[in-house]
Amino acid sequence: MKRVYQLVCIGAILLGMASCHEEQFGPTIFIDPVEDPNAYMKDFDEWLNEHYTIPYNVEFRYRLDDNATDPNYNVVPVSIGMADTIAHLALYLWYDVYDNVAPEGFLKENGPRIIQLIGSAMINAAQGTEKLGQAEGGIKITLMKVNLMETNNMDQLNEYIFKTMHHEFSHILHQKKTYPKEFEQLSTADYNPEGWQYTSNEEAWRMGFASPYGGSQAREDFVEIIANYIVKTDEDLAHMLEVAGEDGARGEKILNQKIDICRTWLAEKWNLDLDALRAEVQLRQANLNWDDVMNLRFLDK
Amino acid sequence: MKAKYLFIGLALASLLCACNRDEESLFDKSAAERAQAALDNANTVLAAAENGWEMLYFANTASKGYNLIVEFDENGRVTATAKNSTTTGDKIMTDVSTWAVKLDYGPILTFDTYNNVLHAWADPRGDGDGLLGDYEFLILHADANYIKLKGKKHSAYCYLYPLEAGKSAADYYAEVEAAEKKLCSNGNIFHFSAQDKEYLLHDGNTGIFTLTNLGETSDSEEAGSYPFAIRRSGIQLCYGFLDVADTYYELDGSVMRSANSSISTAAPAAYFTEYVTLAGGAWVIDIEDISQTTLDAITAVTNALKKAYSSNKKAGVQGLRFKQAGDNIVLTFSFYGSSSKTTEMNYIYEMEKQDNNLKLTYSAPADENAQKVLAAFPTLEALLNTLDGTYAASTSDALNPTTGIRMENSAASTWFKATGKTE
Repeated sequence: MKRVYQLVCIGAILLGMASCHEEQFGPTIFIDPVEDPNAYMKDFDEWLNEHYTIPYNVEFRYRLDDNATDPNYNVVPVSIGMADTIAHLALYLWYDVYDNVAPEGFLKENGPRIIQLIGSAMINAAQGTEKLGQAEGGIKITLMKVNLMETNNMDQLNEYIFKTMHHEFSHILHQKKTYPKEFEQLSTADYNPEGWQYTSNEEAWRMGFASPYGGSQAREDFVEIIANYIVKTDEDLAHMLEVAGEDGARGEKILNQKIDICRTWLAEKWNLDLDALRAEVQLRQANLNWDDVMNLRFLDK
Repeated sequence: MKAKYLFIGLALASLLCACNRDEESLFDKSAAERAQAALDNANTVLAAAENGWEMLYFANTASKGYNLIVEFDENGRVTATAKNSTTTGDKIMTDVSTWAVKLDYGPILTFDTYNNVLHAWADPRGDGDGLLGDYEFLILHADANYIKLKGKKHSAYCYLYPLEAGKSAADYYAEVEAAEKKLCSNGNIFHFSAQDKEYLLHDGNTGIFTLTNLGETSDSEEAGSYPFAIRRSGIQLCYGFLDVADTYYELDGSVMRSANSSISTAAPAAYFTEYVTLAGGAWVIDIEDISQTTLDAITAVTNALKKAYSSNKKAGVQGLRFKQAGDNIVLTFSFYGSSSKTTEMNYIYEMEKQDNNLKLTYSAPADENAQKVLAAFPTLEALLNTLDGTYAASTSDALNPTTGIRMENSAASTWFKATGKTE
């Protein structure tokens, strides 16, 4: 009898457990997106895929998702026209430069995974500053103020776009392999994180910074040295060094020391020739032909 | 023995509790499916309006509502048009960019590439804030007749209504401007009636109504500024307008109505007083199209002035208008004397509403100079007295009586016409 009790009870427990099987779930709760063959931006998206995503493993984002921006700032998206222009120009003045100068596959391996364009700057009116770009986590470079670019103004394009790209990419590089401690020691006492914006270019140069922003902190100083060295023309570079050394100022000496450190670091850590990189950029800036750029004729090698 | 009962209890509990599936599902589809359905609905509704949408864009609480035309195509292209003094220099501007509906905390309409029309209010420009508009909007409501959007970041509100076929942008804006002129010109003022209360709406020419309580102090709870947008057939209010927020007031004869409230103007006699005392307006009397008795009185004053200032060919009565001056309602008498410039003197009137009529009673000169002019030209006193009397007021434009009001004193067989003008 005892055995019968046990069997009935065990049967009841098993029945209870068995009656509670879970529903079957599919592989995902999300509905598969449907590709629209007539999408308005289909041609441009395919072009970006062909020229950025496939060769360089980078997503070139021109559409803006406000969730991906700093909520403390008001920003707007880039226009389709400027996105198209910058996408072409970045190939000419950046990606193709590295293809010519850097080891094979360098940008595909080390370049950003995402390039995000934003139409406006991130403006901090209280401090009188505006952010032109940022690098996040070694994978994403955001370029700002793109809508306000004048395509016939290379100085402006350099200042707001290409210097920013070299600046932010250098951040990505030193976030992977740190820069030498000796660099920081050259200007330790002069960094001014809160008041750098009140410094003129000339004052910054005489202190040994490539720009006022370079005087904010060491890591910004490091990438500003690289970025300015690459994009400044021979004439502008010479002028900067001349002013930096006027009236016995120590800026020229410090700037040259910093450039040497950057040059060595890029060569040793990344197998990159800073001077070759600069020469290639300068050559392309001096011979910019928009027709060739927009038709990708520079890719005919 | 204890173990045995425990075992039996466990078995019973397992049977009884294992599968209590009596709960009814609140939704017949999963969250993902419902979210997708909301996206699909928004996409379909937005792109379905064949002639596009009239979009009323309220960037912030300090901004009037702006009229845009937006057309969404199913391939992700949006064409937007605007004409206003703030963002387009009063010229019609059209731009093309992209749109998408995505899922966030609800379906979100995003204009994710820059459009000179749509992003003008969100562009931070020099100060980092710009006009504090939005370009990503939570879709609060979407059907074929009406869409309501709320900006994600700054809570800009947009109201969309489908446009009719064959309407060019130029035609649309011409009609909006005509409606704006009809409703808001000359500092027109409205009565807003809701919840058994009546309020006064003024400053309509700014696109932001100032609301005050009628008959009470203006610092009541409801008093404040309320942006609105002019539609061709009424007024769209926004931003928590009392308890009837976000309501469209459609023109119905001489009244604009919503479900539970209405906007109209006061009856002409009352309007005549309100316009002067509450809106800071003046009634400019037409001194040529006026009753013969009054015209004779004006002519007598003009003749006296010409005689006194014979060297000035322009000498004579230039105008008459009722307005508020300090605590008094006055008739401003403008005339050319010795100078080529007009001189103005104020004469105090009592203005008393009697049922549907208005009683005007000349009281006294407003100051010493007015007294001197009166003494020098006795015919002026006759003119001032001619305007005394009880008037029945009427207007051919009940939505905006400032365009023309007629005051008739049947007892004295006198009348005058006046138009409103902000001082």
